[in-house]
Amino acid sequence: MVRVGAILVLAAVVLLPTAVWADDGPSQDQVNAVARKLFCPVCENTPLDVCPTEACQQWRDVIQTRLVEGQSEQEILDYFAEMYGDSVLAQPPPRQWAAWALPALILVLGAAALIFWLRSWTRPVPVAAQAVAAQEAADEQVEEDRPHIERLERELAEWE
Amino acid sequence: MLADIGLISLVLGLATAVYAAVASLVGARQGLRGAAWIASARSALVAVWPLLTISCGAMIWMLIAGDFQVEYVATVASREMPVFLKVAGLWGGQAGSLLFWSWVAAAFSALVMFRKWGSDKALLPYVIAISAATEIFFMLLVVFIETPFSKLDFIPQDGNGMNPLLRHAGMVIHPPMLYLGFVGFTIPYAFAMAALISGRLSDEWIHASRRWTLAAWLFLSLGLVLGGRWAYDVLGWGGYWAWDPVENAALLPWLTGTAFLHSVMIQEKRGMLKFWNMVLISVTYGLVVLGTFLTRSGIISSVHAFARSAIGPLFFGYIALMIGFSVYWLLRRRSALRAEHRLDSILSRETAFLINNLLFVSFTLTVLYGTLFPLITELFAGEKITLRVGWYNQVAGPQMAALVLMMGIAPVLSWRRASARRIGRALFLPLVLSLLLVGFLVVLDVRSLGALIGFGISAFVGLTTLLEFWQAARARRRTKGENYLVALNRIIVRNRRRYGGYLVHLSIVLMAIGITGSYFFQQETQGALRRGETMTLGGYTILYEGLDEWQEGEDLFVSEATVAVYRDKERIATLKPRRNFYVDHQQPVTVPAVRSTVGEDFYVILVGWEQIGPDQATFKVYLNPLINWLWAGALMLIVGTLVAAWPSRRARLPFSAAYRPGMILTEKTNVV
Repeated sequence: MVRVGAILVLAAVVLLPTAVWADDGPSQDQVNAVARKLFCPVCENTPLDVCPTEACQQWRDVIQTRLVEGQSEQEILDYFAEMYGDSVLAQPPPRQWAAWALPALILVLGAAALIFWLRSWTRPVPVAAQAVAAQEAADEQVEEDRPHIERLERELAEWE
Repeated sequence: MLADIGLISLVLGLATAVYAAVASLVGARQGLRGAAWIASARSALVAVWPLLTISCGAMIWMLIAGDFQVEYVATVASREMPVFLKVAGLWGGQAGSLLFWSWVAAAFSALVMFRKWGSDKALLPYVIAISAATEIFFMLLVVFIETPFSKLDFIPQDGNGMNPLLRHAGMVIHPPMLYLGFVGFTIPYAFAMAALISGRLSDEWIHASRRWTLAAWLFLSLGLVLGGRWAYDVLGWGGYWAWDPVENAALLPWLTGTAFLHSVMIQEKRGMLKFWNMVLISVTYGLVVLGTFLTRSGIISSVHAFARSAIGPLFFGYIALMIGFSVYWLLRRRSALRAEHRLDSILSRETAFLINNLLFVSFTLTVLYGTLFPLITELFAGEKITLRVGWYNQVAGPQMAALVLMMGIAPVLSWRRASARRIGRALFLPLVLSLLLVGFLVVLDVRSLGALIGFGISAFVGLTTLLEFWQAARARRRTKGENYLVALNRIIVRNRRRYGGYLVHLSIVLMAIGITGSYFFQQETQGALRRGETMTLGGYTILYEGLDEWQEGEDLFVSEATVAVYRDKERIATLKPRRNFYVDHQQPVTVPAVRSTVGEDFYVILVGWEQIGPDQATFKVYLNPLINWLWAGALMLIVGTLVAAWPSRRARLPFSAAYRPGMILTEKTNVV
């Protein structure tokens, strides 16, 4: 009896830590924390942490295994990117610099366009252009009359 | 039989539209003598609508009756589907949705034909021609490339049924909304082109098409929100917007359309940006056609999808043709489109509108670039790179914040020259209060910079806008002695356009609060629970009570978990998240269960159970703070747009009746 008890105690001492350790492996939240930053190439735009397909479950298992092996989040992301391309990453890596190049260019060009417009629209009319301006003023008079002409036309049309 | 009727009616519709286009142009060439031709073209364009209605009606009838010999019916419908889904099958597949698109276009054009043309008669022939051109293109696709009426050699027992993800009430109304928005924008484009071609370049095309633009904008906005709501309810990933190519396709014309709605004001008030407005509406039209193509072709998932069907080159050919056409007329009329006024001061409403437009355009280009990035990289680098949510949030977030901020600043700037004192007075209180709010949030331990900026800007813009209402109401109360409610009502009725716009601004603020809250403060956790076990997230505790599994019909297996939700030891709800498995499509669909309050959504997903048996199930739970503000904002957006678009009684009177000698026409007398 004593021997059996001793074996049980021994077994408990030996087995318990492993059992506890297994439970202490990466939690589902820890797996999800990595999975959220990944997209599998098949499922359209569904993040890996919530994708219900079999394939995505397998990817999550891979993450779990690698976390158990002690890999860091970045190492796991790098692994998937290397295997399946940068498209699997929710956040594109800096080597895809072209992704930011155009938005940055748009920003610069937009600011330049704004400054250009504001300057050209507020600049006083040069002397040489005064003849043109006089012509424009005459045109403008016509333009100013236009609403009245149109109203007249509209009313005439309604009389018809 | 019905398929033949549908096809014949469609072909007749196509022929009628071609006739309408030709007759209108002939009439326009003949000048005054062409009136009969134009009248005939007008009737023809109207007639396309009933013809396509017969076509769509035949298709709907076949979908309901289950005429599976028709290939399209067999691919989108099945015996077991409820009737409303069978009807929705009309827009559930590519061929049908193109037919539906044509029908909506025909309906819009017919309605436009019924308007009172009066002095805009000169625009009529070209509006007919341009609307007919759009209809012709889509009908050509339906007749020759993607016809939903073609038959199989045999009669299948049953159809495949619609993609399970689409079997949702949201999917029944979301695509029609989107299409109403898409197609709606073809009307202002037709008016713009008509103005260019006829040379009548005053604001009349803007006035004539303003309500159509607003209607299109409203439908497109609702389409976008409903799409988000559908994703939130059906896709089960706790969010509502994934920057999916299909979502982006609908967002792009919305962005340029919104820019257009704002920049036409500068033309109406100051006679500036005439050229630019033409460009904006043309671009919007192009993006609408591109959007229809993107949502339908799957080109973004692979360039090879492009080559597989003739539809890709045709779409691109048509877009190129229309762009070329617009550019040609824009250049021809460029001298007539010069600004009538110069900028009096940098500090003016005009400048604010310029910045607003630049932001909208840069936002559009950014999203377009991101959407096409897989194509660009596949063509030039050989490897297809899809940009995901991380990139979009990075580039779009700041631009969205800047746009919302402009909403708070622009309305307090006056036209021509704004005085710094007035600006200071209008912005001082909102600025102080919103900074106080930010300080308060910091004290509450909010450390996320993005969230502080988001809430700060939202508060600032909301307060400036409310202050505009309050000041106007107070002024009226002082002068007319009305109480605040009456005064508020009066100022809105007297200037629907302005205050409707402000209501829309407030609705955007509500949405911004919802987006900020749910984006920066979403919490989540996942875990496996045995029956009777609990899991806790953010003050909520769920208790797993059991799992039921059953079969519905032949195709659908349902697994539904029951969880009790506790808060402060009190049972507040029972939620039943489920997983539907559609055998035919081999597709699982996660249906979340949600407990909604004004402050937050508690959102439970059943992740798995099979591997571990029904005694244990895995759940993922989300806490989405403030998300309902987003949906509430969408409702308010409808109200605001309707207020802005509602005809006011004064404006409907003919000019002679509204105008009395001695009456001074000021800016406030807004003849809409």
